[in-house]
Amino acid sequence: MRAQDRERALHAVQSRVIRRALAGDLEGLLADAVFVEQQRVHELPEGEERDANIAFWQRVRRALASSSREEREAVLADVVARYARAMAGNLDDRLFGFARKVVPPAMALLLGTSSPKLLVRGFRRDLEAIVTVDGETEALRRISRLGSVMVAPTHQSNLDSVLVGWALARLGLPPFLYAAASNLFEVPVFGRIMKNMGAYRVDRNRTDQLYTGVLREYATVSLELGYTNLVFPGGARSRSGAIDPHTQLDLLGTGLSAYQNCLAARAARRVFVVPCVLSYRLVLEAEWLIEDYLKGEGRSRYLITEDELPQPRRLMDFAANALSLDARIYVTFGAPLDPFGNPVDSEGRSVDPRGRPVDTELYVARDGVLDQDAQRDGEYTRELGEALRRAQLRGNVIYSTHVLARAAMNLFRRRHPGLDLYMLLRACGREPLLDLGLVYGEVDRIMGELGPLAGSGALRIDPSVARSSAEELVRDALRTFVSYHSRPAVRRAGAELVAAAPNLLLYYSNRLEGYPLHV
Amino acid sequence: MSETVGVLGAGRMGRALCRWVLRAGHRVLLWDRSGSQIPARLALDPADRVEVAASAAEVAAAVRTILVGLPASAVGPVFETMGARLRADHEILHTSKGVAPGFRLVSELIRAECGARQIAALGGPLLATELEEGNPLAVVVASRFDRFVARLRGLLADGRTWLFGSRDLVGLEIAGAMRNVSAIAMGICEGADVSETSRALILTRGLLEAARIGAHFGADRDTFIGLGGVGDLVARRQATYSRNFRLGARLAAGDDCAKVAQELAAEVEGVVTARAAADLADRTGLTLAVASAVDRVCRGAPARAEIDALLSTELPLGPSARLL
Repeated sequence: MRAQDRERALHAVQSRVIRRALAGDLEGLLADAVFVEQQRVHELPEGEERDANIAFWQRVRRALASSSREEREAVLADVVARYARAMAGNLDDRLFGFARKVVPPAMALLLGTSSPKLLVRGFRRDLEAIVTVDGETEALRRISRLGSVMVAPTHQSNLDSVLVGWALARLGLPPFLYAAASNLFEVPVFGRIMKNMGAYRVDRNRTDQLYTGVLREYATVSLELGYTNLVFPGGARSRSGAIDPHTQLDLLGTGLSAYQNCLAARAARRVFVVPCVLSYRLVLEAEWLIEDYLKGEGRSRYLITEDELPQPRRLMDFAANALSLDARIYVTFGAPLDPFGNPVDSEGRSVDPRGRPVDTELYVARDGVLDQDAQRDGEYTRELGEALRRAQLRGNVIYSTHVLARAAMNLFRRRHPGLDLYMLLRACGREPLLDLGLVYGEVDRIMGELGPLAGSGALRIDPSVARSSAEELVRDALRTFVSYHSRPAVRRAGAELVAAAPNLLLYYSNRLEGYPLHV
Repeated sequence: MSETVGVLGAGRMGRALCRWVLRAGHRVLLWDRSGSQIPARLALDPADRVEVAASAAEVAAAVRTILVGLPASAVGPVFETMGARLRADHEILHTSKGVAPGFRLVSELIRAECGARQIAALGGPLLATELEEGNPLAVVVASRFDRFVARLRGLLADGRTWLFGSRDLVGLEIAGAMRNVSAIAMGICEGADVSETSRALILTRGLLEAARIGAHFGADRDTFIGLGGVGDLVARRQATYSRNFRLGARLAAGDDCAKVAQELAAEVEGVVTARAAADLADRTGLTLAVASAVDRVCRGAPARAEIDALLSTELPLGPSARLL
């Protein structure tokens, strides 16, 4: 946030969170914060910061134990101020301008030069050559002049925020803010890029209500002040590889809160939500994400064998291998929505599915008076999440890797009917061979279904895939898998395919979930 | 406080809704395709507080709350004509027990025509004749908006109807629509003289299929074992006079589906729902054996053979099979 807005915003955030806390269960909120913080603080490395933290939280504990309400109120103000200040990032227009110029070549360098082959050639790839920004970019530009914009992308990789940031800058949009996990700030180069580009720090270990309240309010206030916000409606990166239904709606709901606050203040500011899809043919953290998915979904049924976390080094490998292919990454923007999930027309007015104007004030006000109802607002936001997911499914670009993975999974499913997912994956590992002829047939069948879907705008197919035969598609996918994953999802062995990493097959095939496809 | 409530449709359900609104102490603004013949059909007492509107759009313009007594197939076209008059704060309660092709739920059809969000469905063991006569009833009203459910419970309180609230709109709509498929299945069983035990098996499997579709659409499984699921099925099982049941019985006797529907002079919603469910099973791989069998019988397959096949089908393994 810019320096001139920062203090104003912090003041608004603190006073709102404190007002709500005082009206609610103050002791419960503080006790919750103490409990979460004490665990977090003990995991900090020894040193001054840790000692200062321990001392602070001990003071909060004492205040909580004391009988004086005044003392508890004073300590509440301190806790909220502490949270808010730790979160607030700096958005310096000069720095942002600098970042805008420097980031693309820096990213390209980072993404391109770790391949010795490219270095030798002296080839400096620009992000322009790797990333395509498309979709409703004109509408995005237009509505960003009419109100505050929340950009809501799919989330697959830690690269996402930088890519969307770059795409927005390239479209000439004003500086934007986004919440980023605090551990990402520690990654060299990456962390600095993020900070300069408006990231504010969110500590995922802090789960207490006061902290999440501050986070929510910070995003709300920034929208009220006119900042563009980047919000991942899925919350974390998709574990399954699919465009999952959005369930972490807390930050997404800030659009509706900002809209209602503006209505209450009789401010003319409008809030828009723009769906966005990031399409990669390979995903940087695929192995780790799908392991986490299987662990979470199957709980005790699935034993994780190795714990692989994405490291900066992996980023380099990913970059060198995946991006030196002639693979494009797509950043696709969808048509803008209002905070209720209605489409908006070119003037920024909300319209119904038939294009007729909708007076959205009536959703939240009766006889001109705002009507508070948290349950109702939660439902509106859930509907917005559904509308976003539908738009993201439409903007999703399908690559050869997804089609081949889907074909292989389908063939395994048919070979082992009735097995649940975990048994099936184990079976794929035991009998990994698939006849290539069968695979080509299944690829053709899937492409036969995808073609009409793409034709009706339900999804998109990478042009190189749309043009190729089943043999070419399979060859391209195999080459792509081998280029990055140490154990590719599938590899060729004579006239057969071997499912070398069934989990990855599942991960990439899941990108075709959410569409009316036959299994 | 007394207010004017809109009612769309003056068929059996529309009439029942009118009576209900009047019992709760409100006035009715009624619209039906048949226009001026409504008062005669309703046998309206001059003292009744019912006015007839010239169009559905007129109802939308005049009232805040609209009760819909139309079959699923009529909902889309009627709401299309009202769309321009529907505001963001309109409240809509529908009673349809069907879906549109593609398994599109009635709430979806309404949403596709307007910006209104306060949409609810009425379900449970709701027999139009009983509602019209004012017999004690227990029904479910489901909407995602708690306050809307609370408002409907207040608005429609008549001292005889118990309105249970639910947030599972989708689940209640699916349970209601699939209940009509089960009603056709029971009619077929009646016509084909199937044993009571086998009927119980088919009815239970029908319910599990509804729950399976529910899970596919994100509904709550509990809805299907509640008043809107089992409760509705039990009531329907007794009600051998329902259109869907009678259609099933005639199909078992070898009559043509379209011909019987014409004779019944009303839409048999279960036929469309069975078709949509069979399509859904084909598309998604969901096991919907009863719905698919009903669909085939509706399209001319011999009833007896389908029933026999259904009773000899081995059930897929899984938690739902254990329930059997």
